[in-house]
Amino acid sequence: MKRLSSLEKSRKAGLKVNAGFLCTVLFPLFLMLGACVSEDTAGKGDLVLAVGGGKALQDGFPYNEGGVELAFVDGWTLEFTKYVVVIGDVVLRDPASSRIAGDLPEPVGLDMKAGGGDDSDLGTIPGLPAKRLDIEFSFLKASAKAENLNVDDDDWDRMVSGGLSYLIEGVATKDGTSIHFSLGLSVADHYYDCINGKDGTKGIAIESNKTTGAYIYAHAVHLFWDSLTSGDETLRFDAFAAVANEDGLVTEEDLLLQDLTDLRDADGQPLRDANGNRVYYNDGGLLPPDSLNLKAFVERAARDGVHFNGVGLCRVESLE
Amino acid sequence: MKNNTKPVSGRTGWAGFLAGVFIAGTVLIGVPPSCGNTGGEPVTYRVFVGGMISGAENTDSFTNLRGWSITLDEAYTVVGPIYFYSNESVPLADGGHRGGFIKSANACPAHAQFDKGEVLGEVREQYVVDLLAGEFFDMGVRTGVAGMVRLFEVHLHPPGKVNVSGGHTGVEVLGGETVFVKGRAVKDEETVEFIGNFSIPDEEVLRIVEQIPAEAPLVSVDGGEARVYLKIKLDVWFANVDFSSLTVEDESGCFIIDEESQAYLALLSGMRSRYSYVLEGEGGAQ
Repeated sequence: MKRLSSLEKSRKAGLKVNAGFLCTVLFPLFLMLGACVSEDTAGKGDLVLAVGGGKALQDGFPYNEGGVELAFVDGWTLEFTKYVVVIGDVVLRDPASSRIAGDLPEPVGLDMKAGGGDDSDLGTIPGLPAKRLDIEFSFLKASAKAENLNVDDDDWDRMVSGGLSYLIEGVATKDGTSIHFSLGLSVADHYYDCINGKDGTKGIAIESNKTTGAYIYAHAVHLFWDSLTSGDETLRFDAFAAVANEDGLVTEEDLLLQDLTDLRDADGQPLRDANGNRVYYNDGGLLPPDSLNLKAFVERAARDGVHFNGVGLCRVESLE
Repeated sequence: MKNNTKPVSGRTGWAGFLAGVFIAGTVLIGVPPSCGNTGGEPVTYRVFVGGMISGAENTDSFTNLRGWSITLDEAYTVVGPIYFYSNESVPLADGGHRGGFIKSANACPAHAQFDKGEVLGEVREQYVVDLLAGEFFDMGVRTGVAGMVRLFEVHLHPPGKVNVSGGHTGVEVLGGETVFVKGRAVKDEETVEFIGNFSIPDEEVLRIVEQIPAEAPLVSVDGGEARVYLKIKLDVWFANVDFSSLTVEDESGCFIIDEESQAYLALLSGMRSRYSYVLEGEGGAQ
């Protein structure tokens, strides 16, 4: 057996030390470095942002989604003809530093129904760092500084002069009676810290050297639920139809006439469901005591119906 | 010699590798050894509850939004459980959705997809409270976690849903229901004597007033116990009650707040309103 010289022993020992050193120190450092580097030097990517209202906007009521039919319990069918929203202040931020990575600051007004209800493009934010970013945006009142993308001029004038953030129109039908609705809602809210509805994570991951798609979801079905909380919601239209004018049109002003503590039918009698019970809209205790009317309820429903990338929720603060 | 060194060298390599992966993983994930620590100190606290009128010293008379001047002779309710949370309403990431697409889609304003944070304190029992007593009812001493209560929820079940604590006389008055109110309301020339004795319908979460915002410190005062005060605003309970909607009288000529009346739905709405409940803490800076 060949004996190792002291030099060889030292050399072997040195190699062992080096191997241990590599495994215990350099490898973890490599991992850490790799992780850090990959976030910041992974390149750039673009974000294409769209806005949509979901199947309800596309198909009207009733509609089928995931094998579930969503229909009005009081027998109405409904089609949307317009769904105008004003969106602006889209900002993507680095979650660590809060620095702005990209934005679409200018507000735009668009009719989500104009293209049949499919998602409408809001714009592209190019050159974003390829990493996870927080996203925020606002639903704003129409103003002269907002760009009108595809809204009918008369409607846009109405929205600007009335300070409206939504203009929602359509027709509901029951037993041969048609009720047209034209609801101008005036809410302005900032949505931030959004959860991504696709995977339940916070924000959105921008892919390197690719265009990442995302969408803001103004979930139209919310407008006609009779509850602002979860679990006991039912779709109803009777309370809207009851306050239509003699031409069969109901506006946001008419909704003020429906007292949530005393909903009435078109004859002024207590509004009842198919079982003869009084219809009760559950506001979840959210509406102020001086705002217990159907208009305030629908405005709150619209506010709460805005999500990110599906049903991802955001934190919301009023801009009023 | 070769055989003596190799195994040692091999162990060092694998152990080093595993240790390296562990260290790297720990550093990368950012999990310190004390990751289970909630960060809050234990606190002993006392909870009080009582009725009040917004901006008034008295607790029994006020004018509501419908123009009725209301004087209450009796007002009892049963309160509890109560939970004090550390978070504002924050959207819940990853796993917050309940069930399928449709159900989760409208679970927005309420509980399902929001993270209430840590439970800093709780009252697990029910207490019958005389809302006109003019002083706060003491629900007793408990232990919890020191911090700022930013959200709380109040349960308004009929007595017996959970253990009813305290030696209360009001429990008989309640007659097994959540609320008992009696008084008179005056508007123009009309006076309505009224009585109401009912429970909130047991549907979904109607009996729970959820996510009431707060900014109440649950912290020790001079090393002693913390104190939190739950104030129930009777004027908000009755804010939209129209007493002209009452049509059913009892034998004494007193109008009953019956389930068909606007007064019932308005009082129900008031009891469920987040504006009806205020939480205040008695404590200094932490």
